[in-house]
Amino acid sequence: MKSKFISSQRLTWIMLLLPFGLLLFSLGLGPYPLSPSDVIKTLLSPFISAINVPEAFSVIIFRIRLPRLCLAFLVGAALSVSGASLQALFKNPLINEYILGLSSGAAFGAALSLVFLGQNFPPQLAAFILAVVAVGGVLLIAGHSETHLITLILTGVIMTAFFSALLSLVEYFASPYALQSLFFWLMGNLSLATWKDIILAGPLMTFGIIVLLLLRWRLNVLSLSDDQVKALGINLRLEKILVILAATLATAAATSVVGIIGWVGLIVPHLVRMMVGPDNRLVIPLSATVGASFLILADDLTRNLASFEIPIGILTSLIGIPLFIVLLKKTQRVWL
Amino acid sequence: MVNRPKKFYLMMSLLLLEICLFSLPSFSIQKSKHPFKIRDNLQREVVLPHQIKRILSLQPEITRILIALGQEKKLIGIDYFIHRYDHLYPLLKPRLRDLPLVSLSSESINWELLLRLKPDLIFTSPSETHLASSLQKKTGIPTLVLSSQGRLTSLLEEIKLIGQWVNQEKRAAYLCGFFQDKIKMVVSTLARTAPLQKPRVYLAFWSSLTRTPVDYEPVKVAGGINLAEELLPEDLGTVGTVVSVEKILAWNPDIILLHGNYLPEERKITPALVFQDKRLSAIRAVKNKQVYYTFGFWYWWDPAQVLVEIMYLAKIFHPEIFTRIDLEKEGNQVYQIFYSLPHGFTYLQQRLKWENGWSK
Repeated sequence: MKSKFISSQRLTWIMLLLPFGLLLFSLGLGPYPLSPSDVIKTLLSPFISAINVPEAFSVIIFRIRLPRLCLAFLVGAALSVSGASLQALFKNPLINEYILGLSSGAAFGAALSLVFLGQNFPPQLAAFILAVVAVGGVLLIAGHSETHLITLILTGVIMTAFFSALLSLVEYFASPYALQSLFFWLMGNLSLATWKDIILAGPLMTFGIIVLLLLRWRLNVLSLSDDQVKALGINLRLEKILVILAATLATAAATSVVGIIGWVGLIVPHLVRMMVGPDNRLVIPLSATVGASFLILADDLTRNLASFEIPIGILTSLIGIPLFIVLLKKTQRVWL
Repeated sequence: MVNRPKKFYLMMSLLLLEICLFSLPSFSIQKSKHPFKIRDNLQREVVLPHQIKRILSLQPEITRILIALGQEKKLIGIDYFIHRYDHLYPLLKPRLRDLPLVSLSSESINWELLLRLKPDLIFTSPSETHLASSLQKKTGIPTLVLSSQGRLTSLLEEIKLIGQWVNQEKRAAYLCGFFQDKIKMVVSTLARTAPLQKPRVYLAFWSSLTRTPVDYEPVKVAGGINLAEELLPEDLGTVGTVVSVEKILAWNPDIILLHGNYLPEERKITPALVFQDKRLSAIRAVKNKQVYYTFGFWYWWDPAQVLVEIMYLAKIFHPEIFTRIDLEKEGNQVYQIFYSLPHGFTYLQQRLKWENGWSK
């Protein structure tokens, strides 16, 4: 199944290494003025005792920029891989990582925490729990018919509507000040990223990404018709549930710490397919690295474009959509 | 000799500030030639009724002013914010005679109840941009969009205007005079002290460390510098913006003020959390434990609260100059003058339970 696109090995390597280079480069960008030599010295200071840097430099690099960029890396990878896997699974190019009601469940969870529960129940935890509950509800309602993908998608749409209604209800009773916090969360934000977020959500995102990376061979098979898959002796139901659960875990963990960042899981897999073709063995890992690069770049812009921070969810849409349109016009086709 | 020019410039700038605060006409409220016509905050021309006997205020700041003017009997309904979130409501409730609740959120109005109440005039806030036109169009009742929008001059003008409309000019003038005297006391005390080291202040408002007002006059009047003043607001018509933690580090403020009007169980940002946050450890304010609550906006302003806030901030910014101010005594006096609540400020302190107490 060697595609003519795979021959471009150089492009593949560039895409695989891109986020690591961008992460290092981005350490030097931000409103606090740090020269490249300051960045290098600060990075080396924990290992070489002779290098002394001001406390503020260490805080900027190790407590603000590094956790933020690492989180952008992980979240970008998690959302893109989940989107790519679900698009392959549902054989539908319009599917995104939130299709099974995850985003509205997470939003409702965050709203409950921000409006009613206060400090005792952090929005991250509430968002994660409700996101998993929403997808769990979809799987439960769909029951044995989850092999019928249309049933799953429709149940996802219903679940999204249900949690959106609950969210509206919470908004209705919220004070204007609590509403401001909620809207800020809903727009997606990396500005308050800490190592704690990475420690809490990182393992879950990484686990979900690894499972989907391991399943990338199977996703090519799952893209065939159900009868063909069954003829190959594959337990279709088990494989599908495994993909959905791994994508849910990665996306719910990402959403719980940064809010709802739209379009990444839809656009990045398409960009990758336009560049390397539809083979999921390449699309899934490259979606991870291109998604990570995309979110790191978007975060660089949010930190440096204006005196105030533009929520990253707005920028991902503003950058992603025109980029997608340009590529679509250029290639004149959507791969799946 | 060396300090004299600095002192001169400092006194001149404080004088200028005073002139700005008390002399300039408000830019937001403009009376037109017709005595009963007014151009409101949204530049809508509203014809006021000749007699205003029944008022529906959906704008908490106006409700508070009407109560301060002793006109609570003219109020015929109450909005959700005063009902649920205003700290003095439990004390004022008996005087408000269990007024019916007319709104459940800023734009959710019980229209039939509103019509049944037959107000002569309705007040709304400029933050609900379409509500006033919609109300006036549907009910035919004059609806005025009025707010200080966080400006002290506008607040005083608002008190005077409403005083005129409800025939309480003397009471309005007394309240404004009292307000101005207190501020003059702060401003002139600062002007007498030179060279004045103005603390550089970062304000974390609206339940977030990174959301800050680009314009906050109490800081300026109390002799501080709001570091976000150089920025533009995030949305037109508001005073807030969002900055990064890096920006706060780059500013390295002397003092951090947290929005303290939230009840303890609703607070997302507290001094303890700021001190625990290792990202902020290099900031001067954190190192020197200079992190305090301040009232902040609470659906625009409570005129009594903002006055106490200015004195409170002056004490925090310049403790050596304002040692004589007994905040509890001053605060209770302000609440007595505005709302006839002799222990209003003590009650507020007990309700808000600021962990680091009050600067005494």
